[in-house]
Amino acid sequence: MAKEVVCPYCFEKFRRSDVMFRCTNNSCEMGLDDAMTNFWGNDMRLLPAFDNDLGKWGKLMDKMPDSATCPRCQHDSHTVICPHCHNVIPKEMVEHSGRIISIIGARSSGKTNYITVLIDQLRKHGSKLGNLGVMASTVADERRNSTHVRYKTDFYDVLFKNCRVFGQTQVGDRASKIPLIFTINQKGLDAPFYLVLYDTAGENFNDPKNIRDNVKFLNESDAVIFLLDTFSIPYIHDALGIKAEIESSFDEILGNVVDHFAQGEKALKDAHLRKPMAFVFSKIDAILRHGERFADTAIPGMSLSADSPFLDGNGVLLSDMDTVSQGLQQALAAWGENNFLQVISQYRNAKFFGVSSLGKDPDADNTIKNIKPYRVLDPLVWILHEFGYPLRIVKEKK
Amino acid sequence: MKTVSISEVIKASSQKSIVTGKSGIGIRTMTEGLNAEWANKVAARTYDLPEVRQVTISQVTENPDVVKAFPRILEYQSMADDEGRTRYLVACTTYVGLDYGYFCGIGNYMRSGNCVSHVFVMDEKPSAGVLAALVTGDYFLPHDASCRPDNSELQRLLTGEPEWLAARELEVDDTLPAVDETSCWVAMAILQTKINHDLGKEDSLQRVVFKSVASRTPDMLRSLALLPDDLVCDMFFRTNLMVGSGMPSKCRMVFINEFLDDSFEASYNVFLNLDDLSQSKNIDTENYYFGKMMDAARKGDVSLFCQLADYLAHVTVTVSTDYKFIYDLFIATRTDKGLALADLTPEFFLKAKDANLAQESSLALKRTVNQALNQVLEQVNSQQDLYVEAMPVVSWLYVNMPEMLQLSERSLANITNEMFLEPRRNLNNYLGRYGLQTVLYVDTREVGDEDFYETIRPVADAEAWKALVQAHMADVEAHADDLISCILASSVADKSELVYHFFPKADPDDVLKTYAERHIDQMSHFTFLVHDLCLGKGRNMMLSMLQAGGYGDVTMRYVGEYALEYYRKLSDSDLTACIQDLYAFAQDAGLENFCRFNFAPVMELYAKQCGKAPKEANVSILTLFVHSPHMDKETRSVFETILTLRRKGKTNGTYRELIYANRMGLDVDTRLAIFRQWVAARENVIRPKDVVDYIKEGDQLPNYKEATKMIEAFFDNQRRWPEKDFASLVIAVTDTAEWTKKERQMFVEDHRSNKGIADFFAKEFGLQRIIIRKLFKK
Repeated sequence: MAKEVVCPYCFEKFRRSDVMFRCTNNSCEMGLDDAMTNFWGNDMRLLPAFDNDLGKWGKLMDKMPDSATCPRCQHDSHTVICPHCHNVIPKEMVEHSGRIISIIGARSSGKTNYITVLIDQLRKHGSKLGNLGVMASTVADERRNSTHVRYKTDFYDVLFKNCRVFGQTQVGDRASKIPLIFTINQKGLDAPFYLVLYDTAGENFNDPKNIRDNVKFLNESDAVIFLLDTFSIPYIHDALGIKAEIESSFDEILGNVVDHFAQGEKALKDAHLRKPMAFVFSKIDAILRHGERFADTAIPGMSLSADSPFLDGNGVLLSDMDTVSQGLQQALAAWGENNFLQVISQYRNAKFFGVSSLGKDPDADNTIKNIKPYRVLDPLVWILHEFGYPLRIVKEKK
Repeated sequence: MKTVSISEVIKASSQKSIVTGKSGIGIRTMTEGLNAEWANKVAARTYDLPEVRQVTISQVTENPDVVKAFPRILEYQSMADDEGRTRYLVACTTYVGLDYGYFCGIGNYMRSGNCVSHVFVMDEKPSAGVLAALVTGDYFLPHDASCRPDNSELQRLLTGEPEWLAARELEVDDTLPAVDETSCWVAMAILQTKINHDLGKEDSLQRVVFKSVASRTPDMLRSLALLPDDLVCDMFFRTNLMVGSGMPSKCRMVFINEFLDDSFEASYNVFLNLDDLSQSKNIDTENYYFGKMMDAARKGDVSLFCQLADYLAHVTVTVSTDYKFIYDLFIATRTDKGLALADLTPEFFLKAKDANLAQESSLALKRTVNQALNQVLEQVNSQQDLYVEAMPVVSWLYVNMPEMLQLSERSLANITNEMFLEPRRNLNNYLGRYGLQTVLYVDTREVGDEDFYETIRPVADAEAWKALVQAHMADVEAHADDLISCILASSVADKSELVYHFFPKADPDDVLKTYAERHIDQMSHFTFLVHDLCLGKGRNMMLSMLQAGGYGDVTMRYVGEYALEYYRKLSDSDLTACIQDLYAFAQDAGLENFCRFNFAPVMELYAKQCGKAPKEANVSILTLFVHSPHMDKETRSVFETILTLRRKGKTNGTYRELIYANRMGLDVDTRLAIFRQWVAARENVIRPKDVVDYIKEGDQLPNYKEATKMIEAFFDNQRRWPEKDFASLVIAVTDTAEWTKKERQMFVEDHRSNKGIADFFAKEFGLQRIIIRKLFKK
């Protein structure tokens, strides 16, 4: 049985041989696409969507059709769409399957900042990871919905050009339904790697029901980057003297996620617990910058001066990640978060990370300049490694 | 004011949700008792402002009202509640700039992008007035959205402990707003969707996209109050759409403005661009009805405008709908405004008939139509051209939809006067212009006879005459004299036909006869009548006419002419009866008068008959007839010959006398006497054939004695003829009388003293001559 493809928009599954195509001949007649209208919630008038031309044999063998002929204008099209929601999907992503990595976390845990900086860091330092190149997808029904445009206008420009910290991510807004699709190429590899991210509001994780309704990608994720707001750890909150009350406990979201899977299909839960799970403490720079306040409870193996070792171009040092992860575990224990560690123990492939997307606090005006990301790429690098992606790994003596 | 019961849901990024107890985006508070899960769906609204356009802390610090530049999102939707009941939502999402932390001094939670969604939940569908009032009035929170840390309203709304809301009643001011061009454009767009629905057009054309600068949105929304509830209250909408390139699925209307980031595809919808009307699409701006709505809007006539909108909203239109008709029908059935006469066309009435109007509307239409007509027709001194407009309508209705006509007494009287009275007496004009049926609508019974006759006289149309007279007078016979005179003096071409229409020829009451007799001095004007009377009723009528006319010359001329025609026709069928009747006529008329008539053709016929059978001829008749100067010689000869022979008078020896005597069976002596006269008279041409014919006319062949006398008459006048001709005459007798040799020898013997006779017979009856005669005879 061939592996099914998951649509990054509607998360419905389909066989490669079931993909549909959308006409690309601008002279062809446009019409209301009911599936797209239903998905986006507004009238979508598009060029015709039509089935592929594969015969029974092709269907049986689950071949990936290269093109199909528009029954209306007889033009050949190579634009692949989901047979369920009719959104355009990168053809190679269907052919080779993409990897969905969920970035989840509570409100104000810094998800949007993290995604923005993560991609930027990957672009800057991908070559150091083994000649990785990253490209934002240009494929979409509407250009403004393509990752290429969205990443630039809605993410990169806001943070890096306008120097503004992101506002609240809206709950249930249109943008949250649009996946960010990146292609990661590596010299020597035939098939690219597709990285699919979603920027979603933290409020969506407030309870298991919200997760079920609003975070459908979580079930289909191949790995999860779980952002935890360091400031929401009571010990840290108090140590840093933050006046505002903690909105919600940093581990509450984890509980909701666990509950979400616990209340669902067992197989799905088991699969979830086996997937690479990166527990990432955001804004970690605040702790590292105030070492004096954590003299007895510092994070072993972590300092602002010790950024990701691969940034010096010598390859990925897996032991470094282990060190940081273990250090964070120890720190969490020291901070009184044993219960949290206990819950985490359900995950069979979990690792702790400490990152800082911005490297410092925003100004009072919520603006920020001279961003200094810290260990932002570590979680992704680990996950890629777990996926078996051929990174440049430093061989270490055991 | 209207009282509306509402439940409420308020969603925002607040310090604490009354539902979850958590901070962040979620239900801040709601009416106690609402299902929280359902309330979450109700409140699922966002303010889709792109990140780069979000306000910053420094911006709001500098100007807290900067957020007010972002228009509120107003929405109207229906949604099934947790029990499956349809609830109606009117929502307002207000951009308040920053997160709740800004309003309670918590620096960590001051991110931009906060908005407050305030949703009214109603069990009943709101009226258009309530809906418009809700979305344009100051009912939604926050009333003051200025992004100030000390904005107490936002502080209560976003920070601190939330409090449950109680179900409450809103007093909504649903007073009708003023109407203007904007209102009209909005109404046109919405009505266009209704029209498209009726026409079965695709769903996208039953939905409206309004485009204008955001500041005009309230004006547009206010206009909804001017439209009927059932047109508006299922038109779910959203204002201030910021993302998306097509109509939101749950909306029937969407209002876009300068805040929309996407390129909106509106060409498949009814699209009203108030900023540039020329860019509007799929609105029938040429629609006559819309034009009238615009007129009302420009005049600020709210009542008329609303009624117009309501009316069109409830009319089912088709591709062939005539919107002018719809408008006229509206005016006719729904308003006190009158219709112009020019609007009352046959097409209008036919369409009205097809429209299957409700009884109430039908009555209203009838009232308005008659009002329009009365308005013109009741004006005593109205210009004629007004009648020109009114009368065709009256005419058409009278013929096709008489039930629609109900003119006032005054109108009717004025029409009557217009047509029948001085100074205009326009009947004939009206007949020519509008036809008979128009005129027939007028009740002419009130018109005096004199006016009636005076007016109808110029009418040339006999059918009009018939109809009008019938309408005017119940008993034509009572008016026979005047009516016939009027007809005779009229312009009708075939007067006889018209006269006989009213007074049939077979009228037992002899109305016509009476008229003819009474007006015999003017009979030249009704000769047809005299003619027909004479020929139809015969002798007595003719005599009656003659007597009435005193046997004057004119009477004699016409009656004589018709009498001759009468008798000629009668003679064709029965000459004897004809002559008998003519005889009676002559007797009654008197010899002198009779002699003034020319019956020569009839007499000729009678003469021929008498000639053939003179024995049967009526002496009395012949005696009378021969007095007539109007006969030819032949006729007269016949009549006189017969009379002479019958009276045994002195004969003249004419061949006719000879023949008639024979035919009359007169005795041999009389006949021989006439024969001898005939032979002796030198002026008579005597041919052998005449002799033969005479002999054969008799009942039997002449005996020897008679033949002998005839031959002797020839021999007595032998010198008149050459020998050969003489011989022929003698031989004609002998041969016709079938003399044999015996009779010849007897004749010669009886006349032995006359040697010439013997020689003649010897010569002419020798064998050689007999053979030659027989050969030549053959």
